[in-house]
Amino acid sequence: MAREEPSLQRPYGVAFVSAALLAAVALGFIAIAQPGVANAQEDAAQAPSAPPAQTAAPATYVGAEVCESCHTYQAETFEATMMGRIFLHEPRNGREQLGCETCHGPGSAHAENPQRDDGSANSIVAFRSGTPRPVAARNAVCLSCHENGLRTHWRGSQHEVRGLACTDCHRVMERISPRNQFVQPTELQVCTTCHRDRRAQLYRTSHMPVREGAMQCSSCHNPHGTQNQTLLREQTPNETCYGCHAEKRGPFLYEHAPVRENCLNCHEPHGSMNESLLRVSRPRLCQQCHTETQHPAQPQNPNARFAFNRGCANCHGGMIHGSNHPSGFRIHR
Amino acid sequence: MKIATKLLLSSALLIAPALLMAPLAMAQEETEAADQPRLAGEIVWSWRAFADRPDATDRAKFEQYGEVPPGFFIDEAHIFTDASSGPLFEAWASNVGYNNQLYEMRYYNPGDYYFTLGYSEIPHLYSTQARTLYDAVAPSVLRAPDSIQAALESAPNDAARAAIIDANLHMRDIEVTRQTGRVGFRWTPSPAWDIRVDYSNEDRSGAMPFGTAINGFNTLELPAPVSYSTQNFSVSAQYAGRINEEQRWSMSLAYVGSLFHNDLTSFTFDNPFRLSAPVGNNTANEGRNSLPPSNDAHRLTLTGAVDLSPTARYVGSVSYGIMRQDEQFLPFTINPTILGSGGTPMTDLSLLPAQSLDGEIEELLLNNQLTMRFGQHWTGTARLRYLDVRNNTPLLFFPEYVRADGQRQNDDRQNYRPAYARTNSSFELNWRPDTQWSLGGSVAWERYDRDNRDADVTEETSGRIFLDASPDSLPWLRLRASALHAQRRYRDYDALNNVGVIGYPPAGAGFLQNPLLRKFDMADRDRTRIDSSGELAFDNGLVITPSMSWRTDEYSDNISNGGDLGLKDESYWNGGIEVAYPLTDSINMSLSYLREQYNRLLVNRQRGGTGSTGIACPTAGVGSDTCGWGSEISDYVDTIFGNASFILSSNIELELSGTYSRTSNTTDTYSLGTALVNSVPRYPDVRNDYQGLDASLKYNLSEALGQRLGWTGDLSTELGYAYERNSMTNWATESMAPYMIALDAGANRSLFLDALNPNYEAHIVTVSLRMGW
Repeated sequence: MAREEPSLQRPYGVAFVSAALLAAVALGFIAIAQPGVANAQEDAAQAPSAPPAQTAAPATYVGAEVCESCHTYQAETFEATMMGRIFLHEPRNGREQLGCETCHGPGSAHAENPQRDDGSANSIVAFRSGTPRPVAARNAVCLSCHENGLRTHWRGSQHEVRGLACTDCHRVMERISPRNQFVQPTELQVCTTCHRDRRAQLYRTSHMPVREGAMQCSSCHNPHGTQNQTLLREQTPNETCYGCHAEKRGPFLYEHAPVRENCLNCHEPHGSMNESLLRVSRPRLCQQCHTETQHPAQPQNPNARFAFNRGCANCHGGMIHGSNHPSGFRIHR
Repeated sequence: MKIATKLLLSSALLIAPALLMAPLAMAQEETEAADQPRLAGEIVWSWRAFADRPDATDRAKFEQYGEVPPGFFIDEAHIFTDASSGPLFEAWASNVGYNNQLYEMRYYNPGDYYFTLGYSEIPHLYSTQARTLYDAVAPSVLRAPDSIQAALESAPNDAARAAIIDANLHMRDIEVTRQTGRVGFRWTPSPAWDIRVDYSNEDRSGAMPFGTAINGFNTLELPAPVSYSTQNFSVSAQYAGRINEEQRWSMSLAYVGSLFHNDLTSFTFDNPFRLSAPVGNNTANEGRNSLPPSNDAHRLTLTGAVDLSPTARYVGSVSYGIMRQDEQFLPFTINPTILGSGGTPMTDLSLLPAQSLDGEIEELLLNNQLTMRFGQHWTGTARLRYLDVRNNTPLLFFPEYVRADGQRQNDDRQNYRPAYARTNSSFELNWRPDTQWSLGGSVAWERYDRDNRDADVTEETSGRIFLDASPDSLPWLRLRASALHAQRRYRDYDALNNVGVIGYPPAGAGFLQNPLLRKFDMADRDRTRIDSSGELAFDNGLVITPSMSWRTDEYSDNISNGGDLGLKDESYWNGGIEVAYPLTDSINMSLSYLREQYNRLLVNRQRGGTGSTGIACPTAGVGSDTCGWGSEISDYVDTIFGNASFILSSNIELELSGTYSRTSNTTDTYSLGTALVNSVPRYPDVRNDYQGLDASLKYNLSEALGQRLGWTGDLSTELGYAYERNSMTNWATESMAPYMIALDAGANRSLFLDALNPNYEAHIVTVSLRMGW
């Protein structure tokens, strides 16, 4: 039999405000977008304007052959990349037809006087770190084509705000990694260049198969920005975990409340010295919340079956994430 | 034999495309058509031997995510066609033939379409030394031989039981393997459109350690069967357009679905200590556990992004998701002698208030983000996010249930359905006057509005500042730093009324949680966090990278009658340094060290029983502060990475790398009152040392030498040596045996797997031949 539960009303103000904002903005931009929407065919017919080297006395486009006459090595390595192949051999629109100058901007001034990028209007756009051109301006070149898909949320993301350049992680001009044009052979090497504490965690006795190569940082995170916490690809930590651990998704008859809300209440996914990626060893992990009578409330001697081996999970372990058994109230069925 | 067969099949699969493409490649040499695809690739053939291989019983951690046997294997292979136009083919393979093998294939026309196909296996080896009396007589039935059950039942004492168990244990591996096939198609008919379809099917099979109980507090650790399949599929379409030359917009619609199916909804296991039919309370001779129920989930997301002006961009999304589960319930027990209060055996499904849960959780997510640029130097981001996780599962009332298949409990129980709505809003401002400096700050607010949790509402406000600097006057210096402070407060923390009356109807009678407890995920909390790192890069190539982080969470509540219980304080800090230096043009070295420390303080209060002074601890209410106890849990971690590369000549390279990770834990426990509550032991320290050393000497064969050997492509050989050692000292596992009577007299009807052994040491020599063409 089902019993009525006390009514639980939740304020919907924020939801309504969000929905209204979404609707207003959607309608607004659809309205303003109509007259000016340019499709790919229009793009192809247009001379490019997005490349950022806008000049007072404009430099002009000279063609990839001119660039290759000096930058022979770069031309060879670039041609072996996917972008190189498209730009140099199968351009899909006017912008891509410009080859090197699609990203580096018009090169006539540079060809006449091969100075380095000094950030001035007439110099070509260079992407190496330390150039005077602001990171945002360099990134804008990449985003002029790559702001969709995984990069939709780049602007305003943690990495964007902290001044990361696309070229801090990606090498466009040569193929160093098998995929994704990374600056290092593996994604793990790229991410742990900055996130050193995460690299250290991967060497804890309990870890996911990241250093073994079966998972990547990007299995869970989207470094280009998301609208979720800690750049998670999915909208919550739990949704992220369910991707591989769907058996823990439920819903269950007897939920373990902190599990339903956040897997990270108990687990440290980047690596732990405790079994099963637990943040704290058992029984102390469970005793952070369980202060009933008898055995949960006692400190427990290490020689007791409530402490050794898997601690509380010796009896309550199998279905600790939730039980669907009618006698599973104590989470040991 | 199994490995050899897999290796043969896998190699054939791998080589087949190469053979098929070979005529194409040869034909290419005979034609002048520059656009003909050329077959290229490389393959690494390896042979591995052990100077010291871990014993079979010590191999669980060493081979946790993939077997490492001696002998010949294909380490990796990469085959691809190379052409300046037309479709391309690319395939990867690694660990060919082993249980962690991976294959991926891609057929694509860059910028047009991409078809991908993949297959991978990921094992998780839990144990190679588990000892048990059980055999799986069917996928979901674990049986101990009747003769052993009978002998254990009639054994006169614990010593006799120990002897019987020791004589009849057999060893087994405990492992779960994931086998996943994937297929995907991406179509970009124009740069404006991006359409994707993906599907994957993962089968998981094997067994995993499973802790359960029978007849009260008798523990049984079992190798529970795993037979899952998960199908994930998604479809998405995105259109990106332009408003004008400087403003773009995009809209995407995505559907994601997931179907999880468990072939086994339960498993049955013998009580190894009893063969006779049950005759009363806590005399069950077998038990039955539920296993994760089959379920499904679906989500639809609409995302829009628009440049409102050349300096403002809005991104918003609406997502609706649903998770459902409606697996047939098991009866209360498998024990036919336990009768309900009405006299009906509790094995009868008719006693249940419903035959299945009809569980449903809905998720609604609304996201708004507005990014703006003010003038030349200021940017700002405003965010508003609302996530509503609504649990629509019916409330079911159980006037009685069965505890551990041993005894009827006459307690009213209901399922409770935790749910929450989470609202986040924040505003971030960043000032970047030039390329040297960036200063930013943000304020944020978060609100959790929970159903069926101890606190109904918590709100957290936070402020954060950050600084990035690379001053022109100090061109060798780059700094990053950030600091955050946050305060979280609950509105109404009332576990009895918010949770107890639901789970323990009608008035929460029997809800025994201590009212002084404040659970750490809802308790009042003050959080401070500081992160910083620097990079000092000198002209001679020396790069020094120091870093430091510090975080503290103080759970500052203090209930008037003597303080609250639970986690009181949690802190973490790390400090490290990395030094990289090119000694010469041909020698590069780097060394890094990171020290981390975690501290936690837990306060609890024993209820029930007496302390060593004979003082009785109350079983209900807030207990007595004379029975209080605290525990300090500290983890220390030191991690060192070292790397050196030497270019010894134009064709010889030497790479050395080493890793050392030492983790240790101290758990100190002490009495806070005069009762000297039970045991108050300091747990023995736990320590784990991981050491890894890799050395590889690579020799690139000259083109002439390669041709003399009959190979026209790149050819290199590599001699590798690897040392790995993991050493753990852990009181919780190193004293384990299947029958733990020596330590715990109360465990005389309990049985464990004795499965955990992370220790190993290995010396590995590998010889590889890398062939490129």
